[in-house]
Amino acid sequence: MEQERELVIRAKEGDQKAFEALVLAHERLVYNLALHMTRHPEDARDVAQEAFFVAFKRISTFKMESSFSTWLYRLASNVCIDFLRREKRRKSSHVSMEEKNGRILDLPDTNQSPQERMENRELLCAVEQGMRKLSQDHREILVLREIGGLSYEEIGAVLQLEPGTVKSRLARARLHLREILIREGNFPDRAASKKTGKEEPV
Amino acid sequence: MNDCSWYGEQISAYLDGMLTREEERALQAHLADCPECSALLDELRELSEAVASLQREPPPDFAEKAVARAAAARRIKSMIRSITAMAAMFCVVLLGVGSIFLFRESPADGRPVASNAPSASAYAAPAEPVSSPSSQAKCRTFAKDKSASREKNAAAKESNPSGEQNAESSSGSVSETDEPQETAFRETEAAPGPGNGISTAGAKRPTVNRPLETETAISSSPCAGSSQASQWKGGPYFAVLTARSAAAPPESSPNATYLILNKEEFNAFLASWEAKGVQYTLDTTGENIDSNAQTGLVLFHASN
Repeated sequence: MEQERELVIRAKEGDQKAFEALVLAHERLVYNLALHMTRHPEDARDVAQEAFFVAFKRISTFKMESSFSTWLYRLASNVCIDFLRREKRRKSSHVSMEEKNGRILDLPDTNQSPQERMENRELLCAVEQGMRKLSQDHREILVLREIGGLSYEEIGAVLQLEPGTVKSRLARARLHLREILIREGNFPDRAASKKTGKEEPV
Repeated sequence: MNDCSWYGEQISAYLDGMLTREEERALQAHLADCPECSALLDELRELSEAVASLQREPPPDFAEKAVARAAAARRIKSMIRSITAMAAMFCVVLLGVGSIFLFRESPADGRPVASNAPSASAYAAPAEPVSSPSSQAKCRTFAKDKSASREKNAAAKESNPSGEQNAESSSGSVSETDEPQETAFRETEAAPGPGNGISTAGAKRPTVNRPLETETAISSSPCAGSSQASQWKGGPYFAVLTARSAAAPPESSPNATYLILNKEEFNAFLASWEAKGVQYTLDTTGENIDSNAQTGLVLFHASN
């Protein structure tokens, strides 16, 4: 934390190396936030680049009253939202979101057996598709929590929400994602099975 | 599930370790009795892990490009600043050069300058005795500030001492941009002093010690000083042209008369002295006012 503070001070003074170190430290979450918000790798790259560029331009105004990561993620979130607003205005006349969504993510290889890999791949595909159907707010909070690993307090600072709101929004996002997956047959509703006493399908 | 819907939020927070000890205990008791909520906990945990595994690495050159873009922006910003600074400097130089030409071409209007109060501060100083016919040219280069005066004076010395220049400076119209002249004239109207505009320093310090035969003529015409100056028999003659605001005539001397003049009057006097071959001392620093200006006719050039 102290090291980051030092980097921020140097970056504010125009130190390019310090700015690069900050980019390297935060590019993963900024990029993933952009990826799940824009739902397209190329857009995500551009939006994330834009977020860092804006951060670079505004870092001199950063008062260091909050952590740099909070400031940066809030800024990145705003850049994503701006992008989505622009997209919304022009999307009807261009490639449909469904077409774009088809190009989104390459799934990672793992050390699982072929069957496990297949099952895992299917689940991940389903989760990824389900994520796209979530609202912007739900996608955002899930990325910050699940991918970014931010605490409720940090999420509250980034999204400017009360801790209670973070808790409830995150729960709704998870439950909504689960509902989408179950509705589309991509996720076994074990809870319902338990309720009805049926065995879940193998 | 519907009966247990309230537990959804608690289960989510439980996954994140965000429940208090009491809440956690209560939830665990419920989970032990409710297979549906227990199953929900498993599902949400699985989903949470699945979402986390959707994480992707940014492109390999991501940071490099971000830094390059920032560096390019910095260079452009720096370039714009340099260009702006150079443009500003160019404008300043242009204004400086323009103002030199403006003053060089600025003709006199012969308006008298009041010196009752504020203009007394325009007394100049230092003494660089000059007795040369080239002072006609010098008279045309008096500027608003000391450094400009010196610079122009030196330039005039080196250039030509033509009498035509003097005529031009004393008979032409007043430049509209010459604010100091206009200001001086307004002061004259607002604050009538002795001698219809040619005032002595008497308002602040009594300086007129002899009758001023030239007062009326000078105030009525810029050229009048030339003819009237020759009538002055008091000698020796001093002309103080610096614009040091703190400079002031020396204490009253029974053997000296001090005239505070605007640029045109000052020029007219010097021109007349030059024309008549009067030997005079031109004081451009104000440092020797007290010692050099105790006798004779002493002209002070009002800066404003």
